Amino acid sequence: MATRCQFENSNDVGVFAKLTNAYCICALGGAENFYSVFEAELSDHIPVIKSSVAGTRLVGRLTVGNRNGLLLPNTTSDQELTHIRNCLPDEVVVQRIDERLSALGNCIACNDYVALIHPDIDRETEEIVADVLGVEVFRQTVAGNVLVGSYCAFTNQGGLVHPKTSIEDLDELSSLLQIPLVAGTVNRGSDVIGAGLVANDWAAFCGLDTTSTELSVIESVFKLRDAQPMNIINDLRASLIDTMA
Amino acid sequence: MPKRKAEAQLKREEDEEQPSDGVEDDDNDKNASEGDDEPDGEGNDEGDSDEGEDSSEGESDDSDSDDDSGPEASSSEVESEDDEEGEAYKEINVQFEFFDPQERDFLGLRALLNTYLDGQQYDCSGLVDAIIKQTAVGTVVKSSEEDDPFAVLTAFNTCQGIAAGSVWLTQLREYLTAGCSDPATREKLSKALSGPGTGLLVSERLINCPPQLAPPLMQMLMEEVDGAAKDEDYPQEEREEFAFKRFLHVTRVYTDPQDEQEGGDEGQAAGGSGAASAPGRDSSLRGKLGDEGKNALIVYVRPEDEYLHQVSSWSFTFPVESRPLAKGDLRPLRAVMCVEARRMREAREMMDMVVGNMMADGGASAVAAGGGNVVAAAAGE
Repeated sequence: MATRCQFENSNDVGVFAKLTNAYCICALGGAENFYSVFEAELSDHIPVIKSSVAGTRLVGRLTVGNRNGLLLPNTTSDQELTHIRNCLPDEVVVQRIDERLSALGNCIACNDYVALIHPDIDRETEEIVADVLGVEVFRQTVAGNVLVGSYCAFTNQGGLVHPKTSIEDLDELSSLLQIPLVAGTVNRGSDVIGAGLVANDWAAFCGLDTTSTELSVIESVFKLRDAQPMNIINDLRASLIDTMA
Repeated sequence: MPKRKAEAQLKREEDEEQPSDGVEDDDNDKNASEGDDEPDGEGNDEGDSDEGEDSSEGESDDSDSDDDSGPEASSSEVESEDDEEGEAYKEINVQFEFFDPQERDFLGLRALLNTYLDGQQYDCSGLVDAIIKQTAVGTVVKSSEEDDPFAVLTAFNTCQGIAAGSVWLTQLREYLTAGCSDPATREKLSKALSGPGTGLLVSERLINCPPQLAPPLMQMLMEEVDGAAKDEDYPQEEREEFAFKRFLHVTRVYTDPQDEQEGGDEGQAAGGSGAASAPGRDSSLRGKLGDEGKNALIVYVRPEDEYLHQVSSWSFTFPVESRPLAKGDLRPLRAVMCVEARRMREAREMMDMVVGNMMADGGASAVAAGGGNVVAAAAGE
């Protein structure tokens, strides 16, 4: 089920939260609204914790993780690392890595089986990602953008990518990831998908500005509620624009 | 301009050919390679900035001869100036175009207006929506149709039409009322906001926008407002909606804390002659100023603010939360002023005289070329 929310007047939910199938991390915010939306949806199933990373609230963009593990940038403080380790279930391996490209959430996108990484990431980091997160790693770009974590968001069920992704790229990514992919926008036309929404296998959160068409597409492709990806071809077709030419 | 650039280019080549020390060699090489790597436009600009550093445009001959007399000494001088502040002196030519607000501007406008209530949360999307939906009045400045807006200016009727009763207007009203410390002014503010015939000006701009943008923007706004009020194609209510008797202008100004302490000798700001009531709480700081004290310390960053303030019937300012100020920084304030519609023309004329209105002669041309060069001094901010 897709829910709309806001973090202190910002619609970029994916910046301030990290959501996986095993846990959810929220930023420390002034108002409790944000956290309580996540809690209401998720706390029955998975731990929802609050933390800062590297003293900032950008937990979504600095970290990357899935059901198996969580990777933190080298700027994370020891207290934050301990706090997160304590709050997360034991099965989740929490590791701090040394990587020049420290905004891991922008450079790496993953689900429980596959990860896409920024083409310039170190070999070492690539190995750690494969190891800790237990995924197969591919160096890819999305619509010509190297920041794969920013311009796409995917779960085990499906994924949403930058609106200007060509059909060939879409096919290629889809076959790599083995999930249905759709090119679309979030938050009323924003193409930074990874910053605009967070999703796991049964829930998704996006900004308040997200239009109902965008929301339907999200629910369809991520297979939330009863929606099916096929809806995009059948029922929703009339309200969607495939190409302009 | 082209001639100047060609001269500068030539000078650069001369510099490169001159024999130089190890140190200057590095400088030379660095500048030369910078010039090579960057696309032509910017390479020329580098050259431009060399010239720019010399005192005035017309004296290029003098400076050339100066340079020739002491080649090594002067070339290092030029280059070290360039190296330290080379970035700040680069000039970039930007073309500004004026458009009606459209749906595609939604995200850009949202970014501009996010801090409209100075950090307080409010219904920003509602405000941007209203701006986009109001097709009769409102202008957005962009460098091309696909880019994000630099500036926006529009006017809403506070009790009729799209803004009336909206969440963001209520939040804005509360915010401004809370900031107003003088009860008499608060009365006037609340009457203005709730009474008919008041146009709320919503104006936001990127920091360091050139002042030359303001006169055309204001002119277009006034033309659109007048047009909407008189155009017979529009229905009667819409014409009434835009028949404004007064404008409420909400904007940002600054004061210099140094000035306040020293008693304001430096005369940095235009006096608010004719403007009414300063907030009471400031009078203690301005004790030494005497009669001029009312608004003598205000520094206006936008040109229209100064003139609008001069003709306003009442106004007030209040401080806003900001980052801790460094030593030379100015303190930000929010200013609210009420300008009678009939005095608007006066203010605009004064502004046009000082800043120059590029649209005034060109008629209804919608493209104002950036005769201002936008100094890419992002670091300076």
